[in-house]
Amino acid sequence: MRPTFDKTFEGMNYTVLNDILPELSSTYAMTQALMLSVMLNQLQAIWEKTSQLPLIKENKGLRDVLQAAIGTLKATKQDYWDKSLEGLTQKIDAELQKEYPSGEEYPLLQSLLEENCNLKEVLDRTIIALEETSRDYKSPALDELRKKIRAHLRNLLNWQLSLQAKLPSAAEAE
Amino acid sequence: MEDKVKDYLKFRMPKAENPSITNLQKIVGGSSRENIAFEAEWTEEGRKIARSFIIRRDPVASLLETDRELEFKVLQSLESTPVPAPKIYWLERDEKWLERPFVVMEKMTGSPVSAMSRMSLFAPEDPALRAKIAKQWVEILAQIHSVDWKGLGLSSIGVPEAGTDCARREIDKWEKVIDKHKLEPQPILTEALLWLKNNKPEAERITLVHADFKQDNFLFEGEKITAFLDWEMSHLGDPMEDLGWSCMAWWRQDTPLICGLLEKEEFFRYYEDLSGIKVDERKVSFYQVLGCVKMTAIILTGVRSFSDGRSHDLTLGLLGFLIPKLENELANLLAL
Repeated sequence: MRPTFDKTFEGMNYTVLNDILPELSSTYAMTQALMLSVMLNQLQAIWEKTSQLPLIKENKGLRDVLQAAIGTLKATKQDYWDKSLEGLTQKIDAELQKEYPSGEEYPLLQSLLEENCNLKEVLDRTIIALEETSRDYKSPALDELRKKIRAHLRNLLNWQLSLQAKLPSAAEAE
Repeated sequence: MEDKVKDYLKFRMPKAENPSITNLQKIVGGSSRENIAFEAEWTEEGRKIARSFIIRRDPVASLLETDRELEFKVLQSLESTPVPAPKIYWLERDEKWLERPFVVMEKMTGSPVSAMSRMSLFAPEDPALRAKIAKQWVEILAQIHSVDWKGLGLSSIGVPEAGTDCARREIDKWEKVIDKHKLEPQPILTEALLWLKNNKPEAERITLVHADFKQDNFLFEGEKITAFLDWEMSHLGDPMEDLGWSCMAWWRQDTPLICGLLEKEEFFRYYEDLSGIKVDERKVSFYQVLGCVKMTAIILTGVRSFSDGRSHDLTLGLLGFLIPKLENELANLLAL
């Protein structure tokens, strides 16, 4: 789950202005709280214009995995096929061909997020379809595809964990 | 607020004369309810009475949407057992008193674990104290699992059928929460749910399950645990569920000790001795996976209310960033 940064910035700003600022009594502390709010707004603006790169990379990785899935699923068709796999293949195909609006210099953040969400949705469906298919049909190729998907998820998770160095432990946060 | 609470006390205790309220304050901690502590004094039939109370009010938005009726019923039933739980006084559904429904319970003596340490390890500088507390912690778990729930009338909170129904009910419950609150697809969670559905264990017995049995849900005073708190997720189920939840790495982070309290082998051995229930490590592992899924569902509930603007509590916003840690535990458990 990706916490939405715009909401996080908004929440932080709300807390500074509505929960912290009214409790302060010195003019200096109040000024600092207002500065904090201004800086949060500025950081949000910067984030919106500069945070595309990791998402571009993540979406490319998802596309590569789904491309591999299409190849395996189509090859499987010779031995085993059912309607759900047919529908899944079409769904993956449609998602891979879908074009998202782009900004002048960089892709739009919202488009990248939407694309990311849609790609993960299709990947989710693929995982479920592979699980269901494996009950009736044993295939080393499909097993290999499942492994590839899991390896991709692991890599993605490792990347997300690498961003967590400064977070408190769960017990502390809760 | 003070006047409203005073009015409520007068309503609930018509014989109380001149009730007064002091030290009314919101207590930090407990993310599923708003906790307000206060002290009250009144005269009744010529006698002066002083008592400390806690109001647990439904929040506007929280980490968890739980059933206050269930919590009330369970706590009421536990009064006649050795389980150290707060005495519950009233369940109030009428919003006219404090804007939202609430329960009123006894304020138990003792400090929360957070008063001792914000680290994952309980009493980092005092292993002897930790060992004493850990022992009582396991004793309480054994007491909970030994409660005669049929005799106490707890069948009304829902009795699972024999076989895999305990596991199925919990999977269904938390999958629904995830479907309701998730912000985007989470393929690792999908993998975990598929695994859980394929590996449901049969429950050997059905007991009362606390369902949030961990290191910071108790109060202690000196060397004694005075109360076990947060009963809102309790239900009837497989006792291995509580063990699996406690064993989650999520609660200990940087220590190998279960919930920062004791070694796993010691935990299991002592639990078996006290409860007479054999620990099935395969089932504990299943409930550890389920625990990670459940914790994700709980966090998603909070993050969703933060994202939707229903809550501005930064704790809820912060917890969302911790989900990869839970996914990591899941990935490790499932060998992904």
